[in-house]
Amino acid sequence: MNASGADRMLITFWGTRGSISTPGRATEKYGGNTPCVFIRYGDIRIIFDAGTGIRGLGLLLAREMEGGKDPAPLHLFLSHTHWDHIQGLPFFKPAYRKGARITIYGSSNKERFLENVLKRQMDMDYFPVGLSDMAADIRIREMSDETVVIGPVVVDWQEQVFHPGGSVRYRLSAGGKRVVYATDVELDRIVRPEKEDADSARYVQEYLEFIEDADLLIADGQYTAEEYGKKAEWGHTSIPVIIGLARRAGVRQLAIFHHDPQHSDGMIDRLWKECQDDRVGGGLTEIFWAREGMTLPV
Amino acid sequence: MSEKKPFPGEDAPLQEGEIEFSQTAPVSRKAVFEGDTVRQGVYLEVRHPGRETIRVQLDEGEILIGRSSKCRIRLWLEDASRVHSRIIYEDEEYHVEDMDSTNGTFINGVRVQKCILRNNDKIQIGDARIVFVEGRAEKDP
Repeated sequence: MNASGADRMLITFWGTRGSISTPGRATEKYGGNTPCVFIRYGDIRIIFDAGTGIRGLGLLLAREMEGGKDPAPLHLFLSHTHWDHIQGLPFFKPAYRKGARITIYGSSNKERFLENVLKRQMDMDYFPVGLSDMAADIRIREMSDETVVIGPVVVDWQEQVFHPGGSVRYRLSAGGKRVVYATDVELDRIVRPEKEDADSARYVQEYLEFIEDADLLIADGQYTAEEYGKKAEWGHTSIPVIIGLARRAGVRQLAIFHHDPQHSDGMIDRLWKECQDDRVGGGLTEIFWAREGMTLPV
Repeated sequence: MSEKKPFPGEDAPLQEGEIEFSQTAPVSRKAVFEGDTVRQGVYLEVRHPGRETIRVQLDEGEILIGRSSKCRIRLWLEDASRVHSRIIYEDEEYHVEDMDSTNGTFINGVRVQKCILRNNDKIQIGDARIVFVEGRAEKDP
């Protein structure tokens, strides 16, 4: 094992906030940028989502590219195309660099093509540079195969239910380790369905199987149980529900993600502490709140 | 799976003058405009088992932590590596970075390879606790 991450995955949170960016001192610890997670495995570089956090990541990657070595391709997987997950893309510096190669992956299960959705946010009415004017070699791939293979890294994915407009969860496997990125989904509705039927049981089973034995699960935990009561059907999961599912599936580390814009650092500290107080006899899953600027070894 | 660590604040009660885990640094805008800088008040409080707690003021230089005599923060602990971690100042932020240690570097109980430091973060290396404090800004003498 070494600092280059050649035989382990290094996972860095560049954006952890849900819905809208929340700059300011009250959120500087857990972060105010919207979702972006970077995974490095040897020379392979994978990004989950292009929220505002991808701007800072882009600056780092551009510096590395200026180092002179031929840059390896970047693989950007989008959970979906709601604003908070794509809004940083126009500010992603490698996309403006000639010679950079970027593949953007997303669901094909859209009314409009993924490429059109991304182009529209860079329409002149919204942004002065068009997607096709970016200098990098950008390829947009709507996923149709079950898995995406990038050298020794395998990325599985599944469509998620109960998020307005849909979303995709990803499972990345490499070197015998598994990392799952599963944000923007309302798991409370599969755990406590309005009516029990074959579909509801299947949804739970599929989710548990997908996250089973994950070394790290990065998961939507936007609401407290109390908040969820007022925000049912908004497409996000309550903290107790994701903790319960992670424990059932034998997840080793759960990073609670997509923090509510109203949750200050102090509040998240309190939630974390309450969660620790509650974990006596609660299984082996290590639970924490994802934090911008944190790199985890897996 | 990484080793479980106690939640910050649970392993040792807050001492007099110690900053609450969730509290942001008490540096006023007025103080900054008057010429004080935040970094003047930034230090590490090193709590080493069997040794007196010390403060290490931070500037923009690298600080090595470990068993080796070349480390500015020296740990006399079997589960610390020779050069275990380091503190660096990068992009106007302090970071802790694990130096491929055997037993890992933890921030508030979570094993990290690297992490931006925030006020009252606890860096855990074996049984040592190193608290990052962005204290009150002080005027230049």
